[in-house]
Amino acid sequence: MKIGVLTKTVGFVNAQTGTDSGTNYICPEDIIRMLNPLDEVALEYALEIKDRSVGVKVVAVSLGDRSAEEGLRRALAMGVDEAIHIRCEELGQLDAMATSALLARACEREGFDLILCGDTSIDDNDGLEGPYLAGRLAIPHISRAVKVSVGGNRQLLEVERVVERGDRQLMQCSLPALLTVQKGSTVPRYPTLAGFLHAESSHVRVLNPADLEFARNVTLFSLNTTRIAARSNPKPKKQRGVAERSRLSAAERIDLMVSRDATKGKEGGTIIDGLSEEMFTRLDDILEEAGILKR
Amino acid sequence: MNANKEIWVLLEADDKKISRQSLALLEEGERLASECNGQLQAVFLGPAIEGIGREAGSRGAGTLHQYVDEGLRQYDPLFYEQVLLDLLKERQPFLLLALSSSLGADLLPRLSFKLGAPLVTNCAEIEVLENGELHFIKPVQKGRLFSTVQCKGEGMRMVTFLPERLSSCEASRTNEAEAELSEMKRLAADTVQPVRVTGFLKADHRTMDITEAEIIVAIGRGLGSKENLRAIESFADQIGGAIGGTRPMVDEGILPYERQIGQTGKRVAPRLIFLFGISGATEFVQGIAAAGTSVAINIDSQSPILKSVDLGIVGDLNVLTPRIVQHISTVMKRA
Amino acid sequence: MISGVESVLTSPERLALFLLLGVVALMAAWTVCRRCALIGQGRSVAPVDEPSGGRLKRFLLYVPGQLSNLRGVSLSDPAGIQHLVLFWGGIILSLYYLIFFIVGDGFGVQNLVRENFPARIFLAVTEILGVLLLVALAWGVFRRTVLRPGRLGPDFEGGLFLGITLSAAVLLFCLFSLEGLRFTFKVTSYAGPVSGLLAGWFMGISDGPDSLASLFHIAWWVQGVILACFMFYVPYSSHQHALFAPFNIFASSPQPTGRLSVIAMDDSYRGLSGVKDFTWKQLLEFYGCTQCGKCQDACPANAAGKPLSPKKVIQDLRIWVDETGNLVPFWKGGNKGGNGNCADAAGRVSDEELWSCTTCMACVQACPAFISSVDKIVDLRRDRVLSRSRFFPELTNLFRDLENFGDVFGRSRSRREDWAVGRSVKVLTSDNQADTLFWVGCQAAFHDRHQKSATSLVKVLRRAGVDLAIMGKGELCCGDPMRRLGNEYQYQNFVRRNIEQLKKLRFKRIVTYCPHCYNTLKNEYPQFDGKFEVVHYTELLGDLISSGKLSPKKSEPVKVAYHDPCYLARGNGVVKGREILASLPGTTPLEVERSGEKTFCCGGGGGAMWMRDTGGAKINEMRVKELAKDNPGIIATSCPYCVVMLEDGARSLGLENVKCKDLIELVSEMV
Ligand SMILES: Cc1cc2nc3c(=O)[nH]c(=O)nc-3n(C[C@H](O)[C@H](O)[C@H](O)COP(=O)(O)OP(=O)(O)OC[C@H]3O[C@@H](n4cnc5c(N)ncnc54)[C@H](O)[C@@H]3O)c2cc1C
Ligand code: SF4
Ligand code: SF4
Repeated sequence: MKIGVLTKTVGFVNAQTGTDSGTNYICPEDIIRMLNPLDEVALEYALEIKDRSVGVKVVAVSLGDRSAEEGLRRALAMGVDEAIHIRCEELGQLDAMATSALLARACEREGFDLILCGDTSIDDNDGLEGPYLAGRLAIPHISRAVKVSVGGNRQLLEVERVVERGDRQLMQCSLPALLTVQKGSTVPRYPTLAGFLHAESSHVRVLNPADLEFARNVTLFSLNTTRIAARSNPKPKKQRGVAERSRLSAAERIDLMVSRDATKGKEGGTIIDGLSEEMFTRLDDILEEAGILKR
Repeated sequence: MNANKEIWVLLEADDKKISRQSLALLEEGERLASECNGQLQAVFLGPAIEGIGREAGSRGAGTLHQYVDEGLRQYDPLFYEQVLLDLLKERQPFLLLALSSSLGADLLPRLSFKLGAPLVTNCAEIEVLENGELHFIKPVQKGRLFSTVQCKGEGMRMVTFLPERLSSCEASRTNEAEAELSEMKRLAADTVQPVRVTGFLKADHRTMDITEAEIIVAIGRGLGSKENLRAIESFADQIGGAIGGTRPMVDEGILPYERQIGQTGKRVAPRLIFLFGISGATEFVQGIAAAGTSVAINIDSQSPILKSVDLGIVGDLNVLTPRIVQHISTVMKRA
Repeated sequence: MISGVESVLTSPERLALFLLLGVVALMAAWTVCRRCALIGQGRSVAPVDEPSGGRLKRFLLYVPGQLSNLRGVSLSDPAGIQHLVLFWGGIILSLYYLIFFIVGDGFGVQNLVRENFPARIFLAVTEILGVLLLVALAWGVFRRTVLRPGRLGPDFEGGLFLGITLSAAVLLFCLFSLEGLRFTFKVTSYAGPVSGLLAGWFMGISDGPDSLASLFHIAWWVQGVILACFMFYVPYSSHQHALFAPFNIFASSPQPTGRLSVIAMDDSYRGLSGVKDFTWKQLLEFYGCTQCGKCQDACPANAAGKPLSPKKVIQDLRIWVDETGNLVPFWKGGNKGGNGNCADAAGRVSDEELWSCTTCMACVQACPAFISSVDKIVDLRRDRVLSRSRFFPELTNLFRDLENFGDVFGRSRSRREDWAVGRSVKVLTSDNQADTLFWVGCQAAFHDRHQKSATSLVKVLRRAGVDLAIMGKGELCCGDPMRRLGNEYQYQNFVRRNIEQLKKLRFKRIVTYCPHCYNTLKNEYPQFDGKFEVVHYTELLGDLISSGKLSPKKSEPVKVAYHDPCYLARGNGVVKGREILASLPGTTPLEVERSGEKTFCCGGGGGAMWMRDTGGAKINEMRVKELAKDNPGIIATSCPYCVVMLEDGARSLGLENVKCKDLIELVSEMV
């Protein structure tokens, strides 16, 4: 059995410490190159299948510029058998419809029985790569998988799909198939030294779009269905449930919480007195927004 | 540009009702429809819901396409896909809106691929430009930045919208119109599907791992003694929250170690977290950095935690919690 | 009259006893040889340059001088003196038996060896020591049966102890009697102080010769048999330290206490997974262990009731080595076919034991035999982390944060200089220079509690005219947590990157805020070719105050209890903090029970900061209780870990009127 895991090396914008508004205040050190966390989880699921049974081969596939190799090395360190790097310098200008075309060619050639990847990536937050690839390969797709087991003579996949509030849908599908995964309570394995050293010295197979019969990137660009017109700093939520002074984006609030840096003049949410009428209305709003209270 | 300018909203049910977020999404659809001179229509698959026509109609939907089937209590990907594919192919709406939920986020990519229609996921805002073109604005990089996305081509486009960015203003609603109900084509029941739903497991918030919980009630030293835990537990039961806490709670034996949040405990990522009697030490905050909305109750109005939460309530948690529990149960009974 | 020993002892009986002794001696020698061979199989250790004079001096001070035993002597614990007596008694007695028993009786040359002046002095000394030994033995029995100090537990070879003591006493009585009898029989012309007394008494016995001759026989045989038993027993018991400890002391090179060994990445050695992974030095240490339990007494984790005793770790590992070498004696269950395979290491020392250690090095400091438990504990951690990937999941978070973001809080290097924003601190780049580079460290850079200290430090040093700069975004975690947690691979990655960066910059010395950064930069970076002059801020501050460049003003009178951080005081002998405190006008430093180099851990080192509590009481609370004994207004220290731990401890104990502060905060309020 051959499992392919799509691993993306993301350039995660972790901070905005720059001074140039033209770059959205992002300076080079703010960008953290890392393996997309959910892809790391996908690797863990694949490697667990490998640990549980014999004759399973796990291959990590990554699409991107040179930095994609970093994520692949991590995958190798964790224990995948092989790593394939599809070189593509224009990843930023391609949307999932286009990239899935490249990936589909590669996956077809490899003949994977099962493909795993993260539900979304933290950089572009799309969640489209998996389903589009499944579509292109015309294989079944299950999203939000948190538990995977291969049964029925390796013909059948049993999957737990996590939906709202941690409830699980039990699903079955035939192989080959593609799963996009959620974290659940999984903690991806930490590589051993042998793994790290193996990864340092392993060969990563490099494919170019030309190898996958995409003569020129122009053909890929034409597959795009969307275009990113601009990048901007967060816009405040329209206020209702959450107090009006809470104008912080999630990231800003975390910054504030962790650094408690009150010097920047940002303020958190509203502070109100307990047992006031206001407390109950605000709580109701928040609970309603979370789908707990129904009115 | 697409001629018909139909804006469709996919509704989801929650406990035999149209979910609150779906209604809010309808309102967003209504806004869009009015801004680009389109017309709003709603789509729903599921068991029969009373008054669904009024719910949709009152929010401006002229038509409700529905597929009523008592067997449809759970989302079934391929079934939904096939039913909607046929309809969408036939009607070619201008825009299909759905929630970024476990349903919408699964279904729309399928449809988008099959129809070759551009899809923007996890959208926070939609702007209508002068020329009628749409700009979809979505958070990326964990919300640190927003991208503005345009769709190519003239055809149908699709969006999944983040529920937390929707706001409903139903209070001001006066329109009593009713949507026209239109039944969708039935699907032959006997097709063997490569993906099947075989069951459902309800999560138990009392036993679930706190790293998986979407709602957490976290307690700290402000709790005082273990007896006070009872009120917290009833609150957690009411809202289906998992209980976690700070290290002192574990040290004092009030909670087991598995429920410790923080640098030396677990890192959690709930959508909603209540922080009761917690001062917000760095070692603790490390564990909740990925949390969504946060509400804190603290007796000390100067406590650092209050500075960084969405809603800070000043008061004694042991007085407030029972009152809140009482209040919620009245509200729930009323509903 | 009897004229020689030959007339009392027949030749066959002499032959019989000395044959027995010979056989036992061979057996003992064989055991010792096998032990030595086992030690010889250990991995090699990189030699440390040490002038041979240094080695000799240490040997003389600690072996014949018994310095480490005498240092700990107090009225309540005079065991060190006992050991001094046992040590010298043992040596002199061994010589005595060699010369006067084996050579004298064995070869029948008593006259030759006895009838000279030096021999007489020697005999007199032997007997005096013999008496002292009896006192020491009696005190030992008293100590073990009545005083029962905890450190000797839980499984000291106690049952055997009484037997051994008794035999030793009997041996001494035999010695005295035989000497006395010889004088009585006039085979020698000299009697020592004790035997002289006995001889006087023997001569008074009426039916003298016959019964005295039988007494001589009996005593002679008893002495021989006891000696044989000892020879048989010692190589299997903790008393073998008498053989091995001196070598261990000789071989112990004076490395900085806070330095851990390097794992070469191209080596097959990946931490302690099997017996084959011990170095010969480590194996020698096992056999040098006296099981005195001083390490256990000093261990904060043990004192807090956590599942760790450094003595037990050493013993468990020693037994493992013995089993592998088939060296377990039958009375300890014999060899159970234990093997040195990998699965074993984890079974020998449990996870909870391993992760309870704060690497405070108190055990290393306490050990009279120059044995370190920390290096073994860290080697075991290395095996779990590097080879098995088996550790608490919360550490995965830490490791991932470090790898992705370069710091222990997962805040990322781009935020490293946030604390300094608006304070115009010079940032070193390749085109400027500074006298002093301030190594900020993760804690001061990111933890809100310590960011203030970092600013205070900058303020104070500037006031004193120090040309100061920081590395800004160029700094990464120093790597200390990773190394203590056993993640040597990532540690070395960080060290390499930091050294590369440091070498690009122009500065004269590094000053650190955190003692952990200090220790690793100063003692461990040189292992990777990163040699810099590193000082801790307390050293610098001390100099500035004593040279008058800084003069703290008088402030509110306050009582301060100072806690010496392990990684400064014990690890590196830096105890300037207390001096600085004493020089601050208005502050009254309080006496602290365990202070200076003998300080007691706060509980935060060795990665404990990022791990769950392994049970038992809290080390930080114990320490706060100790520090707060005389009601100080402030508990001061000079380590970010200690500040957090002590503050946390004070809060859990509900001590609201004690503040915990870093020394730099105190100083900055006064300048
Ligand atoms: C090495 C180390 C690791 C640590 N790791 C963790 C960790 O992983 N997780 C963790 O949580 N902590 C950890 N801590 C402990 C951490 O530093 C804090 O001490 C701890 O988080 C504080 O918990 P708390 O907020 O419950 O208590 P406190 O800080 O004592 O706060 C109690 C709060 O409750 C409020 N309060 C009191 N009474 C009431 C009332 N009746 N109603 C409402 N509010 C009230 C008070 O105003 C106060 O703000 C660690 C500490 C150390 C030293
Ligand atoms: S280093 Fe400290 S905590 Fe660890 S075993 Fe030694 S004394 Fe105990
Ligand atoms: S290791 Fe040292 S201190 Fe510990 S029991 Fe052995 S000899 Fe004593």
